[in-house]
Amino acid sequence: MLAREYSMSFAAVQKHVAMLERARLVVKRRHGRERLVRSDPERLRQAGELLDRFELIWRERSERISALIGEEETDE
Amino acid sequence: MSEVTVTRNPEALTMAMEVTYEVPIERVWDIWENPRKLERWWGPPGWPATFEEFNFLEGGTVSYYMTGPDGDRPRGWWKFRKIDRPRYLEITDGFADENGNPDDGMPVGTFTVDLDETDGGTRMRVVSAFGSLEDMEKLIEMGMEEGMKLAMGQIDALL
Repeated sequence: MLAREYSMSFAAVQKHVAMLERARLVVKRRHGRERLVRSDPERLRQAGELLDRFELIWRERSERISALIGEEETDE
Repeated sequence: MSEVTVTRNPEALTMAMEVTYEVPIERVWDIWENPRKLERWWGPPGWPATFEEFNFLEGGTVSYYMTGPDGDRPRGWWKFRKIDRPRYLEITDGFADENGNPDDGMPVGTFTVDLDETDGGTRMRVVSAFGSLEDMEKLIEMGMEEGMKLAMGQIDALL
């Protein structure tokens, strides 16, 4: 089903789901012949919060780099 | 400096940051190649970084520490996986023990740096990737938690 909905090969979908599963962002469940995959909203929320913090780290770093480069200009 | 553009992918545990500086590419490359410059922007406010060993060559390792306001010295390491001067860097990073040796029990992250010449400037793109949510948590905390604590302390002082 997932493979049909996205323009990806079944193997590519399988590989992506395996990655998400390893990161524990999705949960896989067997239902008869099918494997059902659902996202783990709590884990995704945690990942989002961590990325908020990481984004801030890099925004601050880019500001410091800007100041550092600008400072050199005035030195020259 | 341009606006900073951040693209996040919480499912893949990656984040890309892009910014353009109005200086030649060599000058942006230098903030990565020169440890004395790195020290001036890597650590969060109140946690300056000191780079000790700095082997800027493919396969070369880096050891550094950050000094906190209470004298704490968390240590980290880098390894340069790829260096294509002055456009591309691939680095793995992690925690180190008190002697500066990689701590095998702790997670490892990777990031790449891409520099491109634009009309009158240099675009820098940094892409970071984490292996798992737990790894991401630990690695981000090293770069952040102490800085946040300090910022909160400053707010307290203001109040």
